Amino acid sequence: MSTGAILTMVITMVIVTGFAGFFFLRVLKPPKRTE
Amino acid sequence: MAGNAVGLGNFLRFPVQAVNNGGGAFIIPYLVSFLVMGIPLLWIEWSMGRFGGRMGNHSTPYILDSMARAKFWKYFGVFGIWTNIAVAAYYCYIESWTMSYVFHSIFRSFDGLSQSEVAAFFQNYVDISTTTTGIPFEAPIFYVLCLLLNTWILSRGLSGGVERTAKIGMPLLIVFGIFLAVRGLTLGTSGATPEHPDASAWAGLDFLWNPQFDSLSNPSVWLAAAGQIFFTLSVGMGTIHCYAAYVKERDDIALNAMAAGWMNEFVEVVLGSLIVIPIAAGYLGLDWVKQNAGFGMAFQTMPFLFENWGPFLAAMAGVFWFGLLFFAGITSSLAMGTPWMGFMRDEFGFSREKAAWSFGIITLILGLPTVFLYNFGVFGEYDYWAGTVSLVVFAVAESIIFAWIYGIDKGWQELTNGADMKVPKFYKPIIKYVTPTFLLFVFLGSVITPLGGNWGDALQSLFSGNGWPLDNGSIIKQIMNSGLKEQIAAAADDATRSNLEDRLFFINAARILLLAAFVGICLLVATAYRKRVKEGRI
Repeated sequence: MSTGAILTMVITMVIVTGFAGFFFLRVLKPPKRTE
Repeated sequence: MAGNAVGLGNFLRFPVQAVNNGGGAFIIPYLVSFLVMGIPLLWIEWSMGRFGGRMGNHSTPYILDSMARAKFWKYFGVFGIWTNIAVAAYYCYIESWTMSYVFHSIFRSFDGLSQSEVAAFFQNYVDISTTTTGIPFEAPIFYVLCLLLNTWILSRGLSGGVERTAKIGMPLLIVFGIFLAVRGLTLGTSGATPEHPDASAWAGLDFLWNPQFDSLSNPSVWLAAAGQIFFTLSVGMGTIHCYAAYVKERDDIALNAMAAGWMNEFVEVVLGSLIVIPIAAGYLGLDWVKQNAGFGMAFQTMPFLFENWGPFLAAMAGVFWFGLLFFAGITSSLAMGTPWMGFMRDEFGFSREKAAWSFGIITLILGLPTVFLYNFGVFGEYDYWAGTVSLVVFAVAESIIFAWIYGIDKGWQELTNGADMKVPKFYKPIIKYVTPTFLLFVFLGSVITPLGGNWGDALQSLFSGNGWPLDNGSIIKQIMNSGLKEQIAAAADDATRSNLEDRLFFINAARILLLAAFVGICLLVATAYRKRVKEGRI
């Protein structure tokens, strides 16, 4: 695998996994409503 | 909703689209499409659906009608029903393959087969004239069984039960997917054999992830990328509107849309890219992958991987993998039934059973040609028009309605109503300007894609009076079947020519069938409109 391919793969996967994990946790544990 | 979004598109369609559109050339338009079209459209559709639900509308023709004054918009909403039926017609066929492969895994049909024989097994399966089990017409039988199961679940109102089961099935699929992805990452060249000496999983990964920036100027790649984003997120289909029409006013639709969208991307980009392509390239070589890219690729390669694990584990892995894929598929195909059912129940007072069975019958009529004429390109034709082009057309219409006709301020208020999540404000101009413009560019660019995707040469040709040279991948040339006609003209022998002519005939017949279904739904919408006027509901 070329360096460009490895970098693209790793960076993309880290970003996608990070966002997926963040929103998944937000749905599991939503912040309390203030109203 | 993530259960609906995560489906066969993640594991089976994404790798195919990536291979057919240049691997690394595909990833950049794909990710950009997700950020500027996928996310905004998820929000648009959830907001439109919830708004329509408050007005008592549960399908796109009258959801669109309730947001726009001009009467013609409801006919754009026909896409939101038609696309679901047309996609369900061929999607259930793929789903039936997973069902059949569970059966074949249990009965050890792949025992002792080489890589090429496992690949040939699938070709025999979809070739209706041969049989892999001794059961005649095996593929249509599994297709009908699969469609019957879908229809029965819809008619009994058990979709909720399936969704609840999917809450267990989906994490299991992800865990098993991670396991297979690790195998895809570590396979390397260990799968090479004298039969396939160049087999290399690294070559597959390199092909997929090596960025090629020249693809950014090719609208066909953009259309394919946008089509994949729409297909995988189920946007541009009308399914989300239907689902959102039943959520409560204070539900956090912004967060739900984000969670479903990103989870879907995780499964597709992280797992979908690390399983089928590297494993297929690792056992059969990258050239084989490029020549055989299709929905069937996973069926042609995964059983061979499992067979290397010994008889018991091979059977277990086959049942687990194909069974879980079936689960992922059925949650999506059940969702495809709901827009038709919602429309018929709202407008014509159909009972749930009647609405579900009518959906099943129409889907069967549209779907059987994809089964019997799979090798004549009918399946691919459905996927192109219903699974790619129509999604973009509908998305253009709904983004214009939401941002420009209903109004971005009212739309934004609908989106953020009940949201705990702070929706980034920069998405407001993106939804208003970027998304519709981007969609229009992708669509119009695909209609007139120049030869070889070379816009500079095409403009030069136009200004020098030689006209606009169209590529065979452009929508105009697709309509004219130019590529196929060129193949017929260049056919070396009568048998090949005859086969290609049959292909041309069946492709045109399939288009007429799809068009007839669209016109039929338009007539139903017009009838429903007259009924509404008569009953004083408009």
